[in-house]
Amino acid sequence: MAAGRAARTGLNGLFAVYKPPGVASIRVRDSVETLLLKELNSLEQPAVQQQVRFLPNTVEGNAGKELTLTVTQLPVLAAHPLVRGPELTHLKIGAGHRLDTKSSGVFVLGVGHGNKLLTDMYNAHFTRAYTVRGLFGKATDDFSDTGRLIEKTTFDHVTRDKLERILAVIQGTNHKALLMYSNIDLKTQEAYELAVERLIRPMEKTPPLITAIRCLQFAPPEFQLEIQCMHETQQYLRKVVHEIGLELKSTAVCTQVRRTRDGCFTLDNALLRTHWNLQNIRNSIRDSKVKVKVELQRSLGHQARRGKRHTDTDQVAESE
Amino acid sequence: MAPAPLLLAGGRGWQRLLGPQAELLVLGPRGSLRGLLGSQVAQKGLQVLGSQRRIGGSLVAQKGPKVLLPQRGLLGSQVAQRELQTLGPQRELPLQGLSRGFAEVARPRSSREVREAEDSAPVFQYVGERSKRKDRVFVWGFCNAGALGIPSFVKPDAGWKKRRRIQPTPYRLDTAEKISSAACGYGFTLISSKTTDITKVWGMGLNKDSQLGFQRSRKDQTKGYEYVLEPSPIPLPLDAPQETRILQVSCGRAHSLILTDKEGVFSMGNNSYGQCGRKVTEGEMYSESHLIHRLREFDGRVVQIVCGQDHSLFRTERGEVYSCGWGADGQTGLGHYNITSAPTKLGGDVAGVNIVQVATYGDSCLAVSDEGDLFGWGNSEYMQLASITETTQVNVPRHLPFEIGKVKDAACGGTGSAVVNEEGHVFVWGYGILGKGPNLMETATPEMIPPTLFGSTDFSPDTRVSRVRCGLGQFAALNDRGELFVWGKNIRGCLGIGRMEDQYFPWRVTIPGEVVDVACGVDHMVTLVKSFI
Repeated sequence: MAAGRAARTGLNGLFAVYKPPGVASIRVRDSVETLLLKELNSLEQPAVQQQVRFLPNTVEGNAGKELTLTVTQLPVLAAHPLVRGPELTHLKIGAGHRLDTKSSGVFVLGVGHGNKLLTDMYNAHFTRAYTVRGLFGKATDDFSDTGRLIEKTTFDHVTRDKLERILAVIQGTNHKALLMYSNIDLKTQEAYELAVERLIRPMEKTPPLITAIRCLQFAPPEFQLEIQCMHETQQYLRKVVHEIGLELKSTAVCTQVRRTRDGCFTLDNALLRTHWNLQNIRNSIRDSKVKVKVELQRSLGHQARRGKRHTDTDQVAESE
Repeated sequence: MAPAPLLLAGGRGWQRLLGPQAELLVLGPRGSLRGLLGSQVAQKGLQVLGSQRRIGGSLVAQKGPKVLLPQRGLLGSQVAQRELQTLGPQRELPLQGLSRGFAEVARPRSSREVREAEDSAPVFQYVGERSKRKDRVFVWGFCNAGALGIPSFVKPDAGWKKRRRIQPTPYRLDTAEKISSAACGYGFTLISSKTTDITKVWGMGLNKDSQLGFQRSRKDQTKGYEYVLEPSPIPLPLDAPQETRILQVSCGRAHSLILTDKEGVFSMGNNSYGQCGRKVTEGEMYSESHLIHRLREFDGRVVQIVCGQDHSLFRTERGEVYSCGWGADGQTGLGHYNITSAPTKLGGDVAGVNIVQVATYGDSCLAVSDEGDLFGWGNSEYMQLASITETTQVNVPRHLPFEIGKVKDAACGGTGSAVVNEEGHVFVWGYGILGKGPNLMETATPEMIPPTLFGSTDFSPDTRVSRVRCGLGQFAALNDRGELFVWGKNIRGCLGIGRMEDQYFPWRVTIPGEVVDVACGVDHMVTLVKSFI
């Protein structure tokens, strides 16, 4: 009992796991929950309750069989774990920004009181970083290499220089959209200062915006991009790869979408499948507590200053 | 297996893929493949296409219709089923009302089949390996004078088109030749090409002072056009019209200058202040004038020409500066405030200095020496020269001792000035919207605009500004990645940002191409752009 409770006190907060490709993120959340529950239940080894029973017994006495009562200690079956089932059947584990089945990468989960922080992370509108791999030469119906082929094109005219030019334009137009969606009056001095500091970021729901994009590797037909974006979906990133192919007067499909950073959680913080156990998760929560608090206070405080919303980080901080 | 055939497709290649059923996909080289993941109808139509349609010349396998519909028809009727059984594998026309055309029944295909189909699919080529980037011209701003060169903005040629007063975003101007130089005046534009053909320079816009030469009217052969709506060739009186090339054009308020490589400078337009470099004639009629004057009074070859509002500056290859025109603000820099009708060499602080660039557009002027020093003269009512003098007119070039590093490019507007130093930093001073927010409306000493506003990001921290240009109330800056940033007063949409409000800090203009050069006018702008691919 005590061991269980002690184990669960460390389980309040946010941590990140590495979601492998080919698995739905809900399944990942469910497997993490199951593993944690299994471990927590195995920790608790409550001593089986005993009860004192006076059981009738026949004893050879002087005049034949006599009925006497003997004292025995028996386990209380109603309190037996095999009858009642495991102690814990449910853990509150919430999923942060989900990844679709084909993509992989950092996937933030919240456990216990940390689920409140998940809402705060959503409202803080953090940016996320992805590495996206693409392949020139074909176009498919769902913009990935497993889709149905629509068209094949040549791509020998594509050079790294041309690709970087297109990426610069994408970045430029998205930067403009960033400023436009930030709902700031562009004629004020405040807008100028925020634009200089590059602190302008929309603090409400907007269409997907790419804050930065660059080419990491270029070896035709393959190429790899790093994209930092907000309010995106992985299918949108695949569409971006497809549109880059169209802009280059060729075609491209996306072969891999991998999230390398979600807010302040990076690949280094993400736990691999083999490390999904209680101890590692607790360590991860502890290590990222301060980071998360700082980032949230910075973003939400910024929003409060701009009079956008009432922040409740204080309440969350108390609960930890 | 035969190698996938290569098809050459033109710009409409996407439509060629699909033939008449083009509307099922949203097309065009820039369109994404929408409609596919959308309606069911679209998906079924595509399945038809994939196997059946003969795509002009392609070798997509043509399988005859084996089974049109399953025996249990889609419709419940007995009649339909009986008709089905008679059809079989013949290539007859499909039944009315039951038709799936020549479609096959969709069945799950094995991965080997899919792979084979993909390998044998035709490969389209939209652009050759050694394709060249195309040169384009984009214009935007006030349309009514015809300065943008698109006649349908002023006189619509189709019923659905409406007259446009302002073009708020970049619009492509189709030109016959590759344009190498463009200049915007007050309501008119000149564009020129480095070709050796007879037609080398075109003009459009206001022509009330013959600043575009004589444009013979087609309705009345004795008269000329007052407004030229389309880029029209300007006939120059060249000695060797098929050898001389035009290097640069420049436009002022009502006059223009054209610089050639072998035959010097030609000027046309209003000469009431001697800005065309010839003697002022009392009562001369400038409209419908055929006169194009050739300027010869220079020691050495002229390599740069700039027009101010009513004056002209010429720079020779020896680094000397000549000027002519109106001098009431001292903009001719010749030591007096009178009109000059013949180009005269400047003295003052630029005497003996090798000047590599001159700039002007309003009534004040700037010159840059090869060592990066800055010289200014002319109007100083808006504090352009207030750092060295209290007077509001300076008629002799004076050195401006600013601590901004070596100046590489300078531009002078109506009330403000901007320079770029060799590190790519932009400095502004003067009066008006200078680009540092609404709080900075005037300054006598240059203030730097932070480089983060010109497109330097975390991923590309060393983008630098390469060129800066000024219109009357606006500024334009080009960075080395070919991005154009504008700021200033948005007079009749001249900034091209899509909004009509003034822009208080540098804002990117979205242009589908890499900007090579930009020319700013009072209420319109012209950019020379190279396409991406």
